[in-house]
Amino acid sequence: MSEAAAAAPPDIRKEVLGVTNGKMAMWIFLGSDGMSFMGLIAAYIVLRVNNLDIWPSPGKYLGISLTAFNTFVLICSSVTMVKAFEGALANDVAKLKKYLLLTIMGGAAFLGMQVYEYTHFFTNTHAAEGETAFRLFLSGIWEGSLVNGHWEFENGGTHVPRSTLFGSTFFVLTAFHGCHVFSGVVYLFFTYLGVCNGRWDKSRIEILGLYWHFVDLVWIVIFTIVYLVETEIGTG
Amino acid sequence: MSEDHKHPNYMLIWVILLVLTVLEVAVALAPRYLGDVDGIITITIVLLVGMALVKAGLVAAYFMHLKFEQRNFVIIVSFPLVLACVLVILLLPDVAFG
Repeated sequence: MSEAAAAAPPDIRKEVLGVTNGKMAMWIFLGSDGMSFMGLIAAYIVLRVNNLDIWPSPGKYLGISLTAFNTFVLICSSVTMVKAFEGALANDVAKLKKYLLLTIMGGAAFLGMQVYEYTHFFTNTHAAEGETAFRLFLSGIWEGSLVNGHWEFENGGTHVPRSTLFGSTFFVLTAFHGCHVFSGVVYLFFTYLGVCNGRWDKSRIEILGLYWHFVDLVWIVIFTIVYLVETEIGTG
Repeated sequence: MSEDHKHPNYMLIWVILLVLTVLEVAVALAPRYLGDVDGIITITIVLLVGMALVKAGLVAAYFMHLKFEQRNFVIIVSFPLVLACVLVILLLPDVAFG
């Protein structure tokens, strides 16, 4: 085996179908990771279509404008990532570092807004006296109202009937994606440290970019089906 | 072949993605303002999923450079997408008879 490998031209051992083995490996990982996401998305579609009559309107409970802005941030961080790769191709370390840092900031901003969103769902108290407000958990939607400056939530609130699926599918899908963004930010950070110490090559930056764009691509799909698609005509 | 794809117009792709995102939000909000027009839910779902697929395709083709790879490589890495569609289609009976 080692004899045959030694006899093969070096470029064949390093490249297949015009891409390096590292890039091929990342694509294979993305393929399997995409299937993981697709399993969750397929489950979401089946659960939602089978429960259309009780499915709460996403526009009523989820913050569309905040999340649309978050999508904007993630798309921008994808663009800064391709700019970083452009810098790597041109051997322009200053450009590479600048855009990698911007990409890290974009990913961190996305995560920060997701944490804000979750916190808001867990502790929602934005309502006037007598108005109802809601909290969203894995266990579904709980409604309560402000009475004499005191939240009925303190006693648990009222569970919106059969809203558990809405809560659990929402958190499983968005949190699974959030974990990918977190991993991406860590990956970006260590690549950035490598660039600062002079340990980097174009191929690694490209592979990092593939992962980051994939996370962006998946978010585009999740944002559409979880936040935007309405299956009833909402009023709120 | 790896030399001629150095400069796709990333800024143009960025603008298209942002315009599509704004359009998506507008389409998602449309039923609230247009009210109970016949088939509006179906139309918005088709439009939203269509625009999401266009956006995902743009990201894969330009940002992930799939447009500039060898055809055989593209076929190989696109295969999970076929499997993903099969996964959803196989679950359709559960939707139909659930």
